[in-house]
Amino acid sequence: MINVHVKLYGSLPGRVPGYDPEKGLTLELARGARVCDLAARLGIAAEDEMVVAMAGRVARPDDPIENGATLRIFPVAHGG
Amino acid sequence: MKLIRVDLNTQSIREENVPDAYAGLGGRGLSAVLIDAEVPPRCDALGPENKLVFAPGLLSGTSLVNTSRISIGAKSPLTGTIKESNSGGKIAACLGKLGITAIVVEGRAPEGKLFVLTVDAQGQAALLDGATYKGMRTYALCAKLLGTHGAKNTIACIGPAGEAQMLSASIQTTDVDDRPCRAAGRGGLGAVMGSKGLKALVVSTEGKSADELADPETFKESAKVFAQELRNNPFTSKVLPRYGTASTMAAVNALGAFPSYNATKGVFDGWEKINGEALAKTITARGGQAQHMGCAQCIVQCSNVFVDEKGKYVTSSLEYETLWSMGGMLGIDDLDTIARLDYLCDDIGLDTINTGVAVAVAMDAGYKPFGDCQAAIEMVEAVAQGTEMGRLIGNGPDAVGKHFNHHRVPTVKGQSIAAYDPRGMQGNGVTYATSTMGADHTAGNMLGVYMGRKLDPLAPEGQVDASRKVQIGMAAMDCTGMCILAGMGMATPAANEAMFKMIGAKLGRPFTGADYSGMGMRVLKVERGFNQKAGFTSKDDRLPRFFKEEPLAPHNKVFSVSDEDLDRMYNF
Repeated sequence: MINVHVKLYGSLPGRVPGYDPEKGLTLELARGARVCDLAARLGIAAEDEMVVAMAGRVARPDDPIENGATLRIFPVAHGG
Repeated sequence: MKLIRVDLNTQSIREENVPDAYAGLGGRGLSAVLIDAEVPPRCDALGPENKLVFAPGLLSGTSLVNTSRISIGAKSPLTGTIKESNSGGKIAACLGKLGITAIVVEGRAPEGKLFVLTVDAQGQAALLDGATYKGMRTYALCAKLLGTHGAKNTIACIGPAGEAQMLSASIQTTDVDDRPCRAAGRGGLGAVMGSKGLKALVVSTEGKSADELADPETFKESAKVFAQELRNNPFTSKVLPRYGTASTMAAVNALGAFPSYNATKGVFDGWEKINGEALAKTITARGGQAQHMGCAQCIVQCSNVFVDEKGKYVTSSLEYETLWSMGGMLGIDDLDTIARLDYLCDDIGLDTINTGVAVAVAMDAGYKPFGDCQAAIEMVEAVAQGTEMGRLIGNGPDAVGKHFNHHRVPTVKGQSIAAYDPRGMQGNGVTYATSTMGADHTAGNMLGVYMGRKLDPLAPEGQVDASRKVQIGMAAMDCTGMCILAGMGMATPAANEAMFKMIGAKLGRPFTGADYSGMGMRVLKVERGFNQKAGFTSKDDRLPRFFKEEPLAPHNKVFSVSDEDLDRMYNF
């Protein structure tokens, strides 16, 4: 198993009861878990148009997640 | 379809039918072609030869949603280039409903004279003595003007910074609640308005003489399709109404491209205290409006009304770029301070981006420490007072950098970058370097490209081609009067098709996607041509040296798109 740190933005925190925006979530995932596995675990569907960032880059659904990684999940953005 | 020409030399007004050379143009396109034809490229931007153009978009004044963007254009005193800066509020829709294609302000009033231009419900313009408004800040000015001329008017105006012809001076427009909180901020166009001796433009909201559409039925049906696409789009129907443009902060910090502490870091330590979620939570808890309609006919409603702890109005709308320029760039993570700075800029008539970056350069040079909220407020307030430091801040980052002999000045052609660092988003660096406007994120923001993983934001390859495509698209959109945020709804084929049909229905001829791109290319070529005649060459299309020499954490990259590659931008 691996531990990952997840921070949620937009409407996502409302989907996780008791979510603390300052601390985020620590989740345990199976070794070899990919970004799409995390999205499925959090109930995020493609039509939600959420973006997952990992290590300062926009992640692909099939990117593997390393133990100890921090992932940020936020609504798609186009600028201000 | 008429032009109103106002000559401040003689205080005379002349109406004319739109000349054939300008037919079928609107917004930025009309402004660009007119300035290129009528303004000597090497003229003093603050002299009588320059012209200030107020041009609603091609579709402003129609029933289409989100089309109340006014393009204001001139030769810029800040950049020395041609300039278009657009603003929301009501004025573009109102001019469109009066059948006015553009108002062109020419000449220069006798020294010490100040005027107000009014346009009544019949579209008749009048120039009135404005001496009584001299020195007024915009909030008090607009309240007084609406008291004098009636509530059924909307206003574009300048504050003390514009009157003093400072290079970061904005032109403020009133929003749907009649507050002068919308801004054509970029390029110092407020200084051009001040140089003409024009304090305000007051336009009736009761116009009923919009240009007839060539094909009203097709327009009506297509407008419905477009609006529905906006309602279906998660970005325009959920993200922007809930969190405003500040929703962008998570993305840009997560990418390590949020220029902080005067562009020395790519992630701001306190960004989660000032992001869209924190902003909406604070506003809601205090009884303000986290969702607000700022512009006429807007169905997105990305605006907000920020209030203090007692629920009293502070400012509207607190936007992403200002949260950056007055927040991350200054090391300030206090929303109340940022809101106060935003209000001051609107009230004094200043571009929040250029002004925030000017303060950031001063802090970086050691004038005051980063994070000093009071010092930031005092520096902006000093602009209105006309002190020596205030004049430096009001003239922008280059003036501050020269004064302190400080090398880290994030500008291109004198205009500051926006909230996307070129080292973390290389394509935005390409746009800043090559835009006809100086550094300007609205000329071609690449964030959407990176969100869609269509390009690696850190690699130099492919950035020029991608920036070119976005710049052409933005130049076209800026002709229509469509808000760029609502324009994101054009992501679907149905919305694209609807937009092309509406332009065709307005012009009375078939209009395709190729025509739309052609319109954007024409605008860029005209603007580029003007700049070349003004003396600019490709050697001016470069970022400041520090972006190529100082790596930005966390990726520790420098801007690496080659000069040769940058010089391919205008290969079309």
